[in-house]
Amino acid sequence: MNLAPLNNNNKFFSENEYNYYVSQAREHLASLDTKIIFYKVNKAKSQIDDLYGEAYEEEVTLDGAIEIPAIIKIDASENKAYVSDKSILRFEEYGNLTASVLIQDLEFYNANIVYGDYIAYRFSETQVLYFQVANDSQKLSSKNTFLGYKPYWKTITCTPVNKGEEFFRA
Amino acid sequence: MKRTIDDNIKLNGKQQQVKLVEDTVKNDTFFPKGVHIDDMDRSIRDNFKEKFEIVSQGKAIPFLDIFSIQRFSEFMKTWQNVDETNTINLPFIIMVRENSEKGTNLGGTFNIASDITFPVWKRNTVRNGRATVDFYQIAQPVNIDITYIVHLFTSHQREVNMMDEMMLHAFKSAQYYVLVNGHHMPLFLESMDDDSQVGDLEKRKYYHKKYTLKLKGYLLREEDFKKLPSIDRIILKTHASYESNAYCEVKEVDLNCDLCLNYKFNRKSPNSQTYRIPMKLEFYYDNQNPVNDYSYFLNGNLVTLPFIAEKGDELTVSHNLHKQNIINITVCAKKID
Repeated sequence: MNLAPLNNNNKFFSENEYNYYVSQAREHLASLDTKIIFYKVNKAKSQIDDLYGEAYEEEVTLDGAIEIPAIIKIDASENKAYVSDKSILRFEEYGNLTASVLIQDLEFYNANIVYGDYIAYRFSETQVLYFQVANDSQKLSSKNTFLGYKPYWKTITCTPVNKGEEFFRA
Repeated sequence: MKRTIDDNIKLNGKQQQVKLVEDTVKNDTFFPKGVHIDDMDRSIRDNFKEKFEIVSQGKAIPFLDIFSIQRFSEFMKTWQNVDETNTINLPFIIMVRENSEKGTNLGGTFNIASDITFPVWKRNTVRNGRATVDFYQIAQPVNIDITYIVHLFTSHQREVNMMDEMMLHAFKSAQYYVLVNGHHMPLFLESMDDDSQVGDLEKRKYYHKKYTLKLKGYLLREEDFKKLPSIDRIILKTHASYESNAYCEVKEVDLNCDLCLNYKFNRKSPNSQTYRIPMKLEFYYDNQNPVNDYSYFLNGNLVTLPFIAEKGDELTVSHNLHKQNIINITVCAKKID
């Protein structure tokens, strides 16, 4: 694979400018001070059922938490009922969390976020919300680039999970 | 290994049936307990909670019951295993009361369209110093079918498997019996459906398994119960009748003479009949044609009219007439001093 620097847009936009804008984005994120807390599932230490490949909470082992700056959006919650045809056992489901992160940050923190990993978000001083990655955006598009010059950010989509804080402390 | 022996196992089929019926009236009232819809709901809930427990990873999966659509009924529940927004965590089982409808008559027959009652129990008692019995009667129960749906919400296929196996084992017979106030009512597993949330990749995914149960129960109202006393004294008066076919009757009839005897023979009676004379009499007349084949015997000696009989004599009349019809031989006498 040819890993030489890209020169396709050098006349108007170069690697230096790319790095400059990424650093500006980083400053912007630093000023926002919003972060996701990334929990990588440790596949080597986790146990799964040999038939269904599923695991109970205590069988899942997470790596240590990594805080990654991100622009966070949480969709509106949904008012739902488990027994929907009779509107019985109502519950409110958090909306999905979308976290836009810099690819350089992911590389810096060595955070390879993939489908099935867990994300936490400090919603307030007293409340932490937990999600599971449902779309890790491995395949990026032009909108993730600077004017078509190299991707520099991506958005991770996560769905709420039904696990308590103990799971994430372990 | 069983450490105790259940006496019920020793009963044969018929004995077991009798025991089940007797169990329904084992209380102070000697009537079966009434059955209302809420009794059935309560029994189903308790039965399911107790006997259909699933233990996964050392913890019992919580069982919830919601029989009302009123928001308050959910609001007042104290859920276990909830998150910070008071939303219950998976897994859990919930039972929902569905529709009730006109019931199936399990005997496949028709209802009795009236309010008559039938005895279910007889109890010895003493009334006014006499030993007697009371009959405890109830009306025919009214059938009702109630549908319940048991929902399992879980993230694990293994828990779905456990529930499936437990339900199929419990309902391997045609029905599963639930005890409602002492009455055994059959519960049927109608269907097992999957309503899992698995289609949308960007939504929370979980299994949702539905088990539809139908209870074929019946309603019994206490106000329809009746206790009826039995008849405790019978005065039987009998009147001896000689008009039976096997007897010949001798009557004293009043024909303006001192004593008139009427010998009445019928088709099956003997050909002779004897009468003890109460006083000294002279028999002088009878209503027969002399050509008829009949005879008078006084103390066994053949006599002909007129003849005198002493008190205590036995007058026998015999005949050889054809007995197609009743024969009346009337003989009249006058008193002799």
